[in-house]
Amino acid sequence: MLVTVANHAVLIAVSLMFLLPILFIVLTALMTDQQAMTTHLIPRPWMWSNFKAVFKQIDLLRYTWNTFLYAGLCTVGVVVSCVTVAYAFARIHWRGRNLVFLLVLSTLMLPQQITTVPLFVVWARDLPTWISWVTSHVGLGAVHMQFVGTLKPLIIPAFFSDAFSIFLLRQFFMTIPDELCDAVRVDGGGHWQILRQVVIPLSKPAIMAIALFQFIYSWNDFYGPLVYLGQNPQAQTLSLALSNFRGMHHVQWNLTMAATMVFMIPVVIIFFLAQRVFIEGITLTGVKG
Amino acid sequence: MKRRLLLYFALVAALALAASLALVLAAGCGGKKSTPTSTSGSHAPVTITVWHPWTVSSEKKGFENAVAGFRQQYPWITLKIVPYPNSDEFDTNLIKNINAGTPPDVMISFGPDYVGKYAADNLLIDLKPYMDRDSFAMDQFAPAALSYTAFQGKQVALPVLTDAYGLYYNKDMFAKAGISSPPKTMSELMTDAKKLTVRNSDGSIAVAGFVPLLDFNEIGPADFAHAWGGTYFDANGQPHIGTDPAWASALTWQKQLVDWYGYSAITDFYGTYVDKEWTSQQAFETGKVAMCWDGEWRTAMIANDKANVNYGTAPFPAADDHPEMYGSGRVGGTITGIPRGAQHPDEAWLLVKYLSTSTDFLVSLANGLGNVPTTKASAASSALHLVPQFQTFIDVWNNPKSGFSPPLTATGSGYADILNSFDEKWVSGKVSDLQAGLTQVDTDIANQLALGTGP
Amino acid sequence: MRRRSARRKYGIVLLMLSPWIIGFLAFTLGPMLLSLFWSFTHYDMSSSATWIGLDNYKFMFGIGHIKGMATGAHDPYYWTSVRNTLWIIAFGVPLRVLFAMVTAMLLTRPKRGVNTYRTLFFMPSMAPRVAAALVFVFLLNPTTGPVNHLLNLIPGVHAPGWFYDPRWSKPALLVLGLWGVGDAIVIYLAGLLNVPRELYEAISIEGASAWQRFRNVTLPMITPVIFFTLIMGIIDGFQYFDQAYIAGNAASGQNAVLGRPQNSLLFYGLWLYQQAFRFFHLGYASAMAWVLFIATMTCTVVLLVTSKRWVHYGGGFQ
Repeated sequence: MLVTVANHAVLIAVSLMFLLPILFIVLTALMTDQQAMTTHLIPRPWMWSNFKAVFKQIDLLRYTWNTFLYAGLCTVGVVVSCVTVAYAFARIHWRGRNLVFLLVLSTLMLPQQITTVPLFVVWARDLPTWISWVTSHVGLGAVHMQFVGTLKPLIIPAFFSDAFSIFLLRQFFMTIPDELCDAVRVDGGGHWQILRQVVIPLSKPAIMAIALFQFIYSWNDFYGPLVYLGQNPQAQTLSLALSNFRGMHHVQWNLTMAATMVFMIPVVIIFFLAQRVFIEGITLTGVKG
Repeated sequence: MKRRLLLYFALVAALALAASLALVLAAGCGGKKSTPTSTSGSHAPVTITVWHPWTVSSEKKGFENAVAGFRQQYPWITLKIVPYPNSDEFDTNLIKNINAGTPPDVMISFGPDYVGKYAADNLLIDLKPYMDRDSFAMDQFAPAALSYTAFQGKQVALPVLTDAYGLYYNKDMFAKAGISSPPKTMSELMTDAKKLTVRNSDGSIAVAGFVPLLDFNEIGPADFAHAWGGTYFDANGQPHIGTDPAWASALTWQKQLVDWYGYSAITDFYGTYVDKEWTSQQAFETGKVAMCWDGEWRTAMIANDKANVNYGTAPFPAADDHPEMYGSGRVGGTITGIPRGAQHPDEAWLLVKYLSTSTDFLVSLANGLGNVPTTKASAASSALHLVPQFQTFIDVWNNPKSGFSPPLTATGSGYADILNSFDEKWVSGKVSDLQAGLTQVDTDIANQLALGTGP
Repeated sequence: MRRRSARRKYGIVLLMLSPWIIGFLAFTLGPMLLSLFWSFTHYDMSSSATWIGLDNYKFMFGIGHIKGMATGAHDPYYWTSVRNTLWIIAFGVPLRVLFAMVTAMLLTRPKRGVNTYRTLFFMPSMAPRVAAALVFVFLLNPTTGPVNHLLNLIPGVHAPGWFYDPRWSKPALLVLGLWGVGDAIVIYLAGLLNVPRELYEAISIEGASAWQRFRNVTLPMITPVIFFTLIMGIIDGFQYFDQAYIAGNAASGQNAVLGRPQNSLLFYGLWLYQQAFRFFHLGYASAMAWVLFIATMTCTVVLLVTSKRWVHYGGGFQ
């Protein structure tokens, strides 16, 4: 009994540690500038107008829309492009499969810097001559686009699959019993039928997990927008805007915290709606890896 | 089957290799050089894009109002004004855009830090041909303007108002401490700083006389060295921080004051106020420091914040053995120029000319922002409404010994970080041999510059 | 017949893998080769790349003679950035592993409330790093932050300067890191719950103490989880960027110089970023990126190889 109480006491203390920063964000966001510097915790008066002030000072609506676009399209891209790849790794036996899969996994440990520097230059150019070369030879005509300063360098790669999502999906696909797939095969179905009729319907939780992970990842991403979107004030995402907000707007902590809240609220809502998916997804990568 | 697969992979690999090769080639070719000068006789409607880094809404509005005269004068030119949200990242992102071939027609930047690079890499076009055509003379600005708008003989930018730095002092505190006038020498500054400091019972600092630490609010080691007549580079363009005695004197002075406060006491104080520079909680405005090195804009901020501080301004003190330096200081501020690859360079020039010389524009902007008007005509304008304390900064701007620091180089001003971070280490007491340290700073700066210019 | 079906199979595999193959070539391998090429050049985007051989690497490590520089020329902050990065890995990763493991073990005990605790612990790990870093700069402000207000109540304690003191700036980042440890807690909890009950029962019969139970059952059974969090932590640690960038800027009130105070927050990723996108030393930055890649790779491979000795997969119990 005593052990249980002690156990709970420690856990509650740890919970407080995790909770207090959030409480401080909320309270500070509602304080006056002067009060944010003091020890008084309860806002006096409650400055609901702080949120209005934040929206007035920066184009928060546009940044939210950009972030939403970035996160949403990346999510679609990753889901669409990873399912078949994971299937090929999980449910088809072919020579060299493990070796290629190792290659996929090894890209997980690539430092992003090794690709962002060259990719930045490539995206910044009046688009890679080779893409224009390809497009002009397949009848699309020469393409002239300048991608840096738009969301494209962040979104396009997502449509060409992502190692983490492939890994997570593969882990899940492997748990599907062979008998279910054999049933389709007996009916004369091939891999596409198995994928459509068995694997995808059974894997909805895993697909949901990679979708949500990707969404949150892109929503929170800072390095990518910092490198690719800096040039265009119109294209910034919330993470970038928030970093500029504190750095350049000569603003007070209360407004910074109000902006932070606006940034975090979608994440918190998604988290509470889909907690189980996240926890199962995380568990799948960590424990069965 | 296996062979086919191998073939397929070989094909894909070859394609990838070809692609990366193409990328290398694509990356290799720079943009084409723009050829300025052509008479703009046509009055067909034109839209030009202007990037500026003012972020506060009142400043943005102030700029919009100030360019109204331009719109009137050139009704066929439409201005597309884009405020850039982060002035510290402004230049690097502009460079990215110029290299990507998507530059604005006109750029306005807060700082001349990259002017050397702009000129050396032809990122901004040389305005000479336009200036010659329109008999545009540089002598309408103070001589200091040349120190940060031209490099390697290329006039790639023009000043739009400027910043000048000096000493703010709290008159009430001075009176209370029995000090009659602002310090003129560095030893007076030291004595006054000590006299004006108030400590709490636990030894921590309640009011600091003067905070000699990097970036409080704007000061750096180079500004101390300026009081001794110190410069970064010798006549051959080699860094000589280790050999010019000004630097060792300046840094020794700085360390003496830091040690008097106690390093930990002064850094605690610093940590409390350094990030409040741009708020109404700023240390000088709230009476937490008696003297402060700051830019001329603080006069406007004090007025805007309705800060209850009775203050005066003066040039920064000079070293006791260098009285000739008194009255000069660091200057340099907003610049405008035309990026390479601008769509409408001729119309852009009209705007650049307007921004840098229109008295109405400069006066209106100077009144709004509290920056130093750059042309002689605008500084003399009767329409200028600036507080009496402002005169100090106009004088510093016009002083022939004033100039921009750190000096322009072909690779930007990043090299100054080396000195600044050495200074941070020095005042913390982690450097045993000052002279050796400064010599190392020289070497590191020379290497950094060499790394930037390449073979 | 067999051959044809085999061919069809490989056709399908290729088709299914094609998004990854194209993505890998275009967004990973291609850029990597480009970066390798640039690492042997002087390249600044404004003019074309010029071949300078190993000069970038020589400058990084301070060896050999470089044309246009004095002998012994070296990047003055390279090793600072390496040391800072190793520091954050050496302290951050084990701390994270330990904290997550202990918290997860506490979570296996109670019968009620586990889900609530788990939710609370997990939520902050989803918070954007930018937001979290900003919040902690505020919380840890030496004079106005609530944490030091609390610490100052304890007699005899001189509350640290956190992000304003080079001795405390990295520990401040550790605190920030612990706030986001929730995902690791969830993984450990799942790992602990996966340990078969019979194993504990068997060892309890032999009269084992709590420590022996932990040492002989729990620990071996969760080595795969430890291994996973270790590897991921090290990979992330080598690339440490967002938190230091934001916290440094927010604390100093300006974006212009990275790594303050006194370069104590100048991590490898920050220095690389500054070289690439502030100074436009793209050739040198590419060389730095390749060294980072090789270091990450080596560490991972070493861990993988040695893992056979201490990581128990299944452990023969199942």
